[in-house]
Amino acid sequence: MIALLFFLTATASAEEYGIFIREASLSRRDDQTVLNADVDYRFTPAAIDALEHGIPLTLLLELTIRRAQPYWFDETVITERRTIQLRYHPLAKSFQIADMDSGVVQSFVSFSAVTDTLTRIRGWQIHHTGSLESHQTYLARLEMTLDIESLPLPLRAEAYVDPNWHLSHPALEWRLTL
Amino acid sequence: MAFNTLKPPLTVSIVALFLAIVGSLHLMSSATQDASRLGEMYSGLVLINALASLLLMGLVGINIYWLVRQLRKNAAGSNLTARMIFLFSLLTLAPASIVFYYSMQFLDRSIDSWFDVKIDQAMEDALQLGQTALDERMRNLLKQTEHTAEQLGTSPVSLLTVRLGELNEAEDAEMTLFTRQGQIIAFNGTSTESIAPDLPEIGIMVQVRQGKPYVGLETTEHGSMQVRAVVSIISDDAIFLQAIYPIPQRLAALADTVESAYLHYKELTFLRKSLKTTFILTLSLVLLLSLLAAIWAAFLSIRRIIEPVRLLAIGTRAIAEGDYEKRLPVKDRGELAFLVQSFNTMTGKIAQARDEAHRSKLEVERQHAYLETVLTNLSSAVLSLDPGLNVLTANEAADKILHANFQQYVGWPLAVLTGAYPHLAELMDKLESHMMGPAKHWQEEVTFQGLAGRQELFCRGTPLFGTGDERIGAVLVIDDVTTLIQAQRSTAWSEVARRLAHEIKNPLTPIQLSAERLRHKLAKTLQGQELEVLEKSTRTIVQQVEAMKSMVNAFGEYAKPTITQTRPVALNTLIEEVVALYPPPSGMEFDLSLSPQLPRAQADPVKLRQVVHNLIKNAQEAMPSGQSGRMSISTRLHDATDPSSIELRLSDNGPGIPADQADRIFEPYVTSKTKGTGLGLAIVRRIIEELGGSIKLDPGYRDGASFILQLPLAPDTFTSER
Repeated sequence: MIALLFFLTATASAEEYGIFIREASLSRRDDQTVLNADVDYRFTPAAIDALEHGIPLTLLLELTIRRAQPYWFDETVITERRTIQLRYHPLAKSFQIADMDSGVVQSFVSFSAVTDTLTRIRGWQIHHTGSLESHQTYLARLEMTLDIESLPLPLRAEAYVDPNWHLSHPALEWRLTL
Repeated sequence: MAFNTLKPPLTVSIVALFLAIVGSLHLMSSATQDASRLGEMYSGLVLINALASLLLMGLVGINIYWLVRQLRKNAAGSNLTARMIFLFSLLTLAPASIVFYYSMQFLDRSIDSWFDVKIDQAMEDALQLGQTALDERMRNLLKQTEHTAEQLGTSPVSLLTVRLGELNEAEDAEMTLFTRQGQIIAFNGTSTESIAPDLPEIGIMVQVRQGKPYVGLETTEHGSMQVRAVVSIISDDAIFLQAIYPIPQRLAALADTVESAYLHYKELTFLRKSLKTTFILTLSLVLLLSLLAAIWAAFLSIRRIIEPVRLLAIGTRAIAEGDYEKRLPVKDRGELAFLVQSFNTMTGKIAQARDEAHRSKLEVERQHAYLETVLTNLSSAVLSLDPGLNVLTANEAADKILHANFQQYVGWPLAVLTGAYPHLAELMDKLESHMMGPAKHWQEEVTFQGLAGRQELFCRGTPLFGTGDERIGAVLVIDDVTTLIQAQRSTAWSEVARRLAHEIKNPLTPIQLSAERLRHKLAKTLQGQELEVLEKSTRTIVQQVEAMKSMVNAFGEYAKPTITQTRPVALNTLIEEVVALYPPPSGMEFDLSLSPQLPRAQADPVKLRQVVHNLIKNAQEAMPSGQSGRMSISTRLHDATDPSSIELRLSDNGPGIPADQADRIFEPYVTSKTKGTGLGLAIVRRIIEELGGSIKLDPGYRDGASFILQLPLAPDTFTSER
């Protein structure tokens, strides 16, 4: 097991609402590179209200690994995306987390249980890491956003201009050497 | 959008842009209306349309800026353009705004009408019903699970798996026994899919650990429903039992229908405001875009329509500034283009007319200059006067003849002129009386006492009439006929002399011979006193005949046509030779002032010698007896800047010539002397005139008589004599 150098620049944010990535690291285990991250979710009342009115919220988690090039734009080596949907079921009065990639659905009795579950991202497998070279410095970047484009159409225009719907925060970036 | 058909055809690119805008708007409106595939493109479409609006806004803004600048500059056609644009915009905006307002109203009402309190309540009730039905079932299942837990609680740990299997046979459920740490002790499941048991989430565990059993409804990833019940086994708090019961398909389907309908309605209610906003946004974008496109198109087409008017305005301005070469480009056909074409034709005609006017003006000027030249070179004085007797024009000859500078008094009345030149007063009075009289042609010979002596003037006057027969002035032509009259007189004298010589001289010889014969015959027969009378009478006859003969000879000399042979003569030498013949005992003294650089004169030296002799003799004879005369003789070039003749001046200190004889002194038998034939000066003048020169009496000389002779220069040489 090779522990990869990881870095975190988690600074306690002064903002009340938003999705904050507190900590992230890449580690290599048995030829597999996995991502572990801690994310702090503080949904705005508007978003929770919409969720409770049956509007699913879609979260996009994106990891990019880039190689710095001296005189040109950085080259993107790896891009990994994961889509998670949060839903509400009024009949069962339960919340659900649906992993749109794997199709796995989990139910929760309260919204706080949902955020507690999502806080710890563990062992997210990163594919195509074979193209990464040893002793080379890369820039890793992790970003989690609320996907406005997945909202119902009437809400989109409003969501683009309403700060209540802007939950993304500056992505977490760190330097990475294999 | 329909405006396009109302306007003249625009360029293809504009039409394409317009179609693109319409297409984009249509897509956006479709996307708003149903959540089809277009829904994904909605944001992009809104963005594109917003950008298109901005672009059009920019274009319209630029056009408005351009128009305002044109208006400020007061450019041609800008006012008309502004008015047409304003009208067009008003016509576009007014109906569009009305439609927009009522669409908004309609939209608002129709969206509100979707929602009803009754339906709202029915939805809530349906959900409530479903929940009640499921709650009942869940309570039963919880009891059942608790019962199972009680039974298991009595069993020892090692037998739990077996026991669980036995208990579950009756139930169609998935049962799991696990510890507080999540370690699975026993598992019994009917469904083949679940290899690993699905453990409850943290929230449930927290509740159960507190001793409260959990039961809850769940939706699986396959869409089916299940009931999850978690209880702690009473015997030991560290072990929990979870049972998952599937809900029957029929019930699950019903519950799902109710739930999805409820959710849909709930979502609609929630999105009610946003939906309105979205529709308003779409509608506003459609309106804005079409209005802007229409206004822009209006700008383009109006500019095209106005173009010929603008060109015409520019053209007329150019014409007003005198640029007749301006030609306007004719772009297409139509009434306005026809105007432009006519304008071009007009400017062409104007330019042609201007050129012709210019040409005729030049012609008039040329003729005027020609006339001026003719008048200037005319020997007659020509004066033109207006009805108020102001001098309008006068030629150079007028100045010369009348000894006045007429050019200075052009535009002034005659009275002012006579004020400046008093010697003209008498003449001008005479002329004025003619001109103020009846309007007809007149002529008169006038004797004019000018500055250079007496002059005979021949004056003619012609009144001038305008086109309407009104009097616009008069023209005076004045000729100096002094020399002409003198010439006529001397010709007459020559004729008389020639005849006299012929008619009188012939009988003189027989008279003389007869008288001598009488004396010769009678002298023998007569005696004493009678003889004395005869002698005295015949002698008197012979003497008088001799005198008459010599007189007739002198007269004949004057009348005789002579042959002159001119050649270059050194005048100074000739004068010195002549003067040498008059030594001091002759009673004459001479003062010579001869110009040393004098060119030679063209003359007959013999005749010229006679002229000088005559003039000296004339002075000698004019002297009172016993008094010696003094004569000064000078020669010089007549005009230093324009050497055309030689001036010879002879002045004496005698009694001079009386004023009444001054102008006739050169005529035969006009003399103030007691001696002489009275022909000396007449001969002198004839000779001088034959030589091409002139002689005159200097009227300004007061000490005696002074004659001024002018002789022509020898043509071959202008060099001075050596």
